[in-house]
Amino acid sequence: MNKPALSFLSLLLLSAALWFAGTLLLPKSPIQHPRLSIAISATPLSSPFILASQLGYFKQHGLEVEIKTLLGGVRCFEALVNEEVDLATSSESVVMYNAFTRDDFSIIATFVTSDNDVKLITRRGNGIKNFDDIRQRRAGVVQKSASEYFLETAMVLHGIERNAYKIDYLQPETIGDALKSGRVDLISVWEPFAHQIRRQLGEDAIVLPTRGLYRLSFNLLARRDELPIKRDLHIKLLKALDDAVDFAIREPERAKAIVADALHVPRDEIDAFWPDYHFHLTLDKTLQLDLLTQAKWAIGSGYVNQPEPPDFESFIDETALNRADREINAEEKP
Amino acid sequence: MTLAGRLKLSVSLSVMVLGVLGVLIGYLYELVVRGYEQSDAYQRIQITLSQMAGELWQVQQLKLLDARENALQLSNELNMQLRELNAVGVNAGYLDHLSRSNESLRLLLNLYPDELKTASSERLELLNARLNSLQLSMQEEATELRHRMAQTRYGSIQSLIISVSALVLLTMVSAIMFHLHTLQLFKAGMASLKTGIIRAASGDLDSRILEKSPIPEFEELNHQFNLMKQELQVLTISRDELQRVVDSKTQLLKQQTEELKYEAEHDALTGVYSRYAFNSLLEQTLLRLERTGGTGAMLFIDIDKFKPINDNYGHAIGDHVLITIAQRISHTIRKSDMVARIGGDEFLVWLEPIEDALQLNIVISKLLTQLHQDILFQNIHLLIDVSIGVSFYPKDGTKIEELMEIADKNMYACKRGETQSSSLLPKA
Repeated sequence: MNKPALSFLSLLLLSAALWFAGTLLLPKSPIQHPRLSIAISATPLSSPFILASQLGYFKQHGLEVEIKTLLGGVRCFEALVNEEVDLATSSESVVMYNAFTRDDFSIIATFVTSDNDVKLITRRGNGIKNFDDIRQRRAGVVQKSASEYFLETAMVLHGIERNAYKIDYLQPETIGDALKSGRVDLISVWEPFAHQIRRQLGEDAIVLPTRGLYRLSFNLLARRDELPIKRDLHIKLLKALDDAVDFAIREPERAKAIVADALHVPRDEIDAFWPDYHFHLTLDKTLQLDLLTQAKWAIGSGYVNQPEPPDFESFIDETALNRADREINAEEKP
Repeated sequence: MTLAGRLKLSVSLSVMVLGVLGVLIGYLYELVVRGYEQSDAYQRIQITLSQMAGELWQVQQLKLLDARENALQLSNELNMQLRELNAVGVNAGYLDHLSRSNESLRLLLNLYPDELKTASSERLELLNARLNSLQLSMQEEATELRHRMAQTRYGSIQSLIISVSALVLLTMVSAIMFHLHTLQLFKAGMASLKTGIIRAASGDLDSRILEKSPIPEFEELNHQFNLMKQELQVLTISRDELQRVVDSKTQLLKQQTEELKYEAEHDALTGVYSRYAFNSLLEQTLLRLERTGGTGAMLFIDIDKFKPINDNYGHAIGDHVLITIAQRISHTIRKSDMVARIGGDEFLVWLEPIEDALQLNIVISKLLTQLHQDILFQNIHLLIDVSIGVSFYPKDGTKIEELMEIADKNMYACKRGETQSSSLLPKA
């Protein structure tokens, strides 16, 4: 064989090899990137969004996503209903209260749950070792919040009546000081405040075993009227979030490092919450059930005016998640 | 690299690729087996969850404490099954949440008061709600587990297929290119050697082929080939040289033979034929004349008083006289005639053809005229006289001896004065 023919053949084979490798290894580049803006809470609970953004999963699924980090789910919810963002994240408590007054929003997915986010903390010297010891004691809670709901349900579950203990309403920022000063014997507080208070108290802090008594969920919300228009974008977003969730499970150390870096949170704090977080994309009856239970409690506590809880089923729109799920499953079974 | 080295490398690479492919296929086999084991373990978890749902319904609806115990037992089983799933390669991270929910379930079950039927409705309602929620969570977590397991397996199979494809493709492309390169080098080496052999076969021993080659075997072969050509060239030169020497020697020998022959056939002093040569030639001539019926004559010439010349003037003069006489005879007779010196001062002449006595007389007269002229040697004038005897063929004889005898006899008759040399004609 002569030299040019040999060179040509080599070139042909090499191109074929590169093309083959390219089609197998490289992600398909999108032609255009439609934009979505999302308001997320500045907490490690928002990890799937942070990871998807940092690891380029949104772009891989053909989306340009603008992340707005706000303090707390309430602010995120406001940004959504004020049309400052396309989507927002919030806990089910925010959803529950708002569902009593408006119906212009929908939950399109739950992306994280935690069975240990709210904690009951006391001091060693207070002599509280189990739930029965709380009788006749003073507990500090944040009014109308998961803190109050959690304490009350935990007490009921342990068979302790509402009038067997006293309650002080406090702010999350000062609740720790109230415990330290002895104004209250016990506090019910969510993360990251619980971690910070425990760190301040050191050996003096006692956390009552309450894991599994309450499930906190963080959900992705959209404006209801926009659902049909933006459904395709929501599907892409959910697929990117699924990749991020898988990464968080497979590579927890790297995931924690990325989140700590993005939120400027000390690594030990992330390490403390991370085992309690269950990142997953879901929309099942659990959420509806939890919302209903909380709504009944809110009605019973007089925090809302309506005598009946809203129809939470109508606030849940599974279309995008189901379609994303089908597409992911289809990709898993080529 | 040597050709042998290239072939060895090719074999080694093939063996290596075969080994890697074997390992990958083994891994694929394990992946498939693992897949079955995982599916099996997962199905058992689903069954346990279903059984648990039944027991929990009994706890909530029928307020049966036995059902609570059964549910706790199922919870233990679920824990074991989760550990089994982990043992067959499912990431602990994927199992973690189901495992934690199972723990929460146990916690909640233990919160159910022993006196189920008399417990406060608010407490039971909340416990039931929480239990329902947890149960749903567990079902959902099991679904998610299936999803993650499928995703992992798909990812593993996909990477395996990519690895195998990339390995096969890259090694095949490399092998093809490597073999084509080897083929190209081999062909180039062979072409150079072939040209060299063809040239050598056509007798070109001067040219050399390029020894340098990327394949050391060819370099060695080319070198040896060039050495062989050099040797052949040296051998050929020696052969030519030998031929030249042989030719020259042969020429010399031929020359010497001819010289010897000449010397044998000719009289050393006068250069005319010797007696031996004369006899030999005449013998042939007589055979020819016998066949053709031709005629000839023999003259016997003797120098008169030659001895006194030798004695008085020395042998040098004698020799000069003999040479001069021989020359004069030679110049006088025809080219077809022969002359020979047969003794000290005796010459034989053969004339052919001779038609008659008259023609012979003319020849003898011319001879006598020439021979009777003065011979000058170192200021000495000599007058030479000769006696000539004649014999005719075939009249006087047909044999040499007969002819010589007659001619000799006639020559003596002449010498004795019985006949004049000039008119001494046979008695015809």
